[in-house]
Amino acid sequence: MPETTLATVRTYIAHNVATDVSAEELDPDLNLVALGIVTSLSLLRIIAWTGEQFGLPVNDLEINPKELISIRSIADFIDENTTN
Amino acid sequence: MQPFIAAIRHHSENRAEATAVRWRENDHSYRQLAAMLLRRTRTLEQEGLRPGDVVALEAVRGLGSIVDTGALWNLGCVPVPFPRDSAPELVADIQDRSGGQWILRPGSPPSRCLPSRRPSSADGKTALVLPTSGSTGVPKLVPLSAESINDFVCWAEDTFGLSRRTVIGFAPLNFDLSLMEIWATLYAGGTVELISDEQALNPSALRAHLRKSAADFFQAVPFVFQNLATGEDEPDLVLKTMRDVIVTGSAADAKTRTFLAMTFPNATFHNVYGSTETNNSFMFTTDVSQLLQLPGLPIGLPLPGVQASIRDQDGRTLAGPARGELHVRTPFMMHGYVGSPGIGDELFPTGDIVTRDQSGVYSIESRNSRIVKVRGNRINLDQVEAVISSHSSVEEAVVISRTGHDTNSRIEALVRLRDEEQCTALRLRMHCSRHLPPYAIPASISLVSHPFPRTSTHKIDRNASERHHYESAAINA
Repeated sequence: MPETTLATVRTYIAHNVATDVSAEELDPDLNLVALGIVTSLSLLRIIAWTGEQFGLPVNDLEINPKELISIRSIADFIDENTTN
Repeated sequence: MQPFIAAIRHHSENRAEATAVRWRENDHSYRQLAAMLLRRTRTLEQEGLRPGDVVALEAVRGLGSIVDTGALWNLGCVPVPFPRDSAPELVADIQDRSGGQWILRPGSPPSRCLPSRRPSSADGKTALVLPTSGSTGVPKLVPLSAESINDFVCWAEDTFGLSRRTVIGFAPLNFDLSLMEIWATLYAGGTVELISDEQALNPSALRAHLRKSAADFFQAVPFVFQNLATGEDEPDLVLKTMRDVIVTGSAADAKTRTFLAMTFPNATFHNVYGSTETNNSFMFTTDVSQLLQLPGLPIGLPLPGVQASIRDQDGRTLAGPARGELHVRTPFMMHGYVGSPGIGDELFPTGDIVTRDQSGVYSIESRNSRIVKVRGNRINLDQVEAVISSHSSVEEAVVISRTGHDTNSRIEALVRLRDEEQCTALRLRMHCSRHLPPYAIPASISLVSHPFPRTSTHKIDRNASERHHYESAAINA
């Protein structure tokens, strides 16, 4: 369910990646790359987390970093890759 | 940038079927590259681009950005590559300060911008503008002339014989390393094997690619090499075809050197030193056994045509074995930042403290402590501090670099807001994104309530501020 995924991603980002920002403040459509929150390093952690948390086969997926720039796009990425 | 266009045309006639670019498992010959350049040139011309136009170009890794840049050169335009996913305000700022008329993103038609009030950086001399970090609160724009790029390319060909090489193209086009990997290789008629953004960001994908690669030339910053280390469930990466490996940046530590020796058992290693402003200025070359035995990795000797001097604190040039700040002048360097007076015949102050031994070999002793490298990007902490301090809610700010548990350095900001101000770290991040490239935005912004300790001369004592903050954080944890 997209709503739940979105909330989970938002909490994860606020607690583990952008620890200086509160979850309520994080609009799902903010460009996290431009804000210095999603970096090459933190993206690796986020991708690893999607594997652990949602069972995504992250080593086999074609991952386009350009599509993982906001909370919504990360949630969409998770939903797209967990349904099948 | 006629020399580049002439080189591609020459190769398309004389080595038409040789692979110019390997991209996503596909080989593109020089004949095909020349045809793509021509098609793209026509399209951009139809869109209204004219000779002398300055074009901000999003540097997404891939064949598209290379063709775009080549087509811009073919049209007589000046490309200004900027880091991908930069905030729109930052792109607008780069476009404005470079006097640009257009913004070009891969796969999109060029978009015309509001006319810049600044003089165009197309001064008849500049062929390419690379943004870098600087001390004035915004990325500095480094203009490179066709002549200096040409001299660099000739040096690279003379030194490495790139015309017969397959070179890993890792650096995006906004990064000075791309001058060697991409432009020098294509000038020379060699093969560039391009790494995608997906592979660059995903170490296991990068390793999978390299295992299948027959490339023999690899240049990268230490961070990239560190990421090649395999996980437990993966066999070690051993790249036997790699003949030349260029390490850039700070001297690789013993652990990294051991790793390099194991990963590239047949390679010659080159420690290359330089900056965006000067391009490469020093090089030290060694084989595997020496790499393992040396106590450290020197930067070696100045390249041919490079002037170097070591100066003491009063600016006096020192002779013989010496220690002080390195100043250099190279045949490949910029003629002065965009919007600033030219540097004339001056040597460029690197900010790095070096030593020179009896035999004239140079080693880096310490980097200018306010200039740090984070994931290969050179960042001036004073600049980041100035940007945060310029926010109207900020009373004072300290920006420092700290080494994390993974030995990578990260930028952290401590910020004290004005009384009663309603501002958050997220708002400060938004402010930063308008003035800084994404990699220069602090990994964490901590809001503090106490004034920062001051030195006897009333400057903020950054060391004491850092100590105080992290000690109290440890107590509260």
